[in-house]
Amino acid sequence: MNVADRDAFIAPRSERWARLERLLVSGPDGAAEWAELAAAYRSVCADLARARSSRLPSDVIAFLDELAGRAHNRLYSVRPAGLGLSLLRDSIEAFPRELRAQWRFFLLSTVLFYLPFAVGTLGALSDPSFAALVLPEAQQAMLEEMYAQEDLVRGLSGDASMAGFYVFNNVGIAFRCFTTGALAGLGSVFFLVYNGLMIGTIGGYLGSVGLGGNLLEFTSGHSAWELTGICVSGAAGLRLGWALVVTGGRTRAGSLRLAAPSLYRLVLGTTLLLLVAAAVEGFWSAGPAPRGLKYAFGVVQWGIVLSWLALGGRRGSL
Amino acid sequence: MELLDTTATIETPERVSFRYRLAGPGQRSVAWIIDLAFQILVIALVVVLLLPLGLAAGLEGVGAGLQYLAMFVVQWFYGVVFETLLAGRTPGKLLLDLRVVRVDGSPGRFPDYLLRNLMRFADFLPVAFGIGVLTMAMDPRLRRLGDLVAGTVVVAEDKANMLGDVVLEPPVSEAERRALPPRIELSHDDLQVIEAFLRRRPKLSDDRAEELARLLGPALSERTGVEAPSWERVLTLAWARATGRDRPVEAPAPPPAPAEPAPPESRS
Repeated sequence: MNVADRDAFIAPRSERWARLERLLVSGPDGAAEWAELAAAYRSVCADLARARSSRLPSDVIAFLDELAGRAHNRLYSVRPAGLGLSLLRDSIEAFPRELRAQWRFFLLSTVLFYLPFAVGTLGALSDPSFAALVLPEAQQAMLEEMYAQEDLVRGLSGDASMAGFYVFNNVGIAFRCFTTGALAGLGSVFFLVYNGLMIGTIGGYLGSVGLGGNLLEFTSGHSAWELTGICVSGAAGLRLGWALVVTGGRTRAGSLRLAAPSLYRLVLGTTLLLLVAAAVEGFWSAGPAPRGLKYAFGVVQWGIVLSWLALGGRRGSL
Repeated sequence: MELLDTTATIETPERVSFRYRLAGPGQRSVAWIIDLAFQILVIALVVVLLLPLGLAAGLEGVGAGLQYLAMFVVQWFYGVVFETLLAGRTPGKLLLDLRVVRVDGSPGRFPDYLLRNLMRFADFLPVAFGIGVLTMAMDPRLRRLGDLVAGTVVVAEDKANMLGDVVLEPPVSEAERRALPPRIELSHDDLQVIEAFLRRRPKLSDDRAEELARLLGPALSERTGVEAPSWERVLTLAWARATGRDRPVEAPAPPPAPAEPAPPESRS
């Protein structure tokens, strides 16, 4: 290998490379330039293979490597069409299918959420000192004041503000519950148990001071979406932790990779559930509808959520 | 910063494999800080734009709700949206010439971007990307947890013109040239190693350069008979003679540098 070989390799090709470089920097414009980019990319790939096999100096190979790399990224990075539609289909059809396939994780997260929920409710109902263990006194007073109002209506302005807050807060919690599943599932377990216990205790406490009816009226509409959303995020987190710990003979990276499509669908599902929950909680739950109607609405919502999870995405549906 | 030399080989549909330089924690933190600044800017912009709404009677809450919504979207979906729109790049990555691709080199897709960006929360734990940095340190492809789940790597797209000639500093003097053995044969691998060293030389401290040169210098000096006051100079002289670059500079017509005449860029 000497200087002459190097120059003999570069000289006839350099103009083509410079042209490709210009196309990459300016961005190809129009069909003709895209076609030219594709052709130039293929030829630079050939140059690279040639340079390697004839053992040209490393600077030439490095140069061709990065030129081919950038051309490759440019050519293959065209945005896929129809993302919105596939998102919709994945959340509405593929998600319930996935949840049924991962029913063990969903069952576990449901138990991890509703067991502390029941403990909190029953504990706070039966023993006034129990609530004090979970809820600071200031919060107890605040809750009482919040639910003591005869009239929950807060108007469009208040509704919109709260809906935004519910998205920010609740979906954020669900995402944290999911991602901390990476700590061998422990983060998800914490979020499930903690939120179950808190929500249950609040319900029990308000029931024990005679405000249970107000609470039920407020929460009946969105509870199906919100509580299920939390459980689904927990299921996704547990699935993630499981993939990390029980690799089934694969590398950890490979095991995670295998779980990724499933995690993606579960995350879409939890997002959809909690967005609907936030909308209902913001714009309906504190609305002027009479209590009976709100109860009936809540029952219908539970019916919709449960039948969607049980039947959605089956062959022939939708 | 040695980690930054790590590369990933990618096989294309054209049956040619090429190498990418993987982005290390240093570059990625800089990109992240730039992105963080962008995020704050976007939220500040939303707050300012919503100011009139806050003043309108009866609509204060709508403004507050939209602010919460903006904070939620920016906090969790900033990376997802930009990486989807800019083919694997956020503004920070764009400025540093970094890009997210899948492990096999194919472009990332929406599910990959979603997972890797949501997982950033876990990577950040317990503080300042503790888990993320730890995971990167253990992974040969420098992936954080989010990359592992999504099956992505972050690569650096160098735009440097690497075809420039090696600069010998100082150039080979007439006296040195005469003292050199008439003919030096070096293996392809030796030439590559020395060339790589000479290209890196401007970025190395003198002590570090000598330390590296000592690894090859004594053996090379013994084999070729090149003598010089420092091991670095031994390498330089042997390489110059073996490649015919020890001749006095006679202003030879340099090969046209391919990547030079880049038109003014309009990247925004």
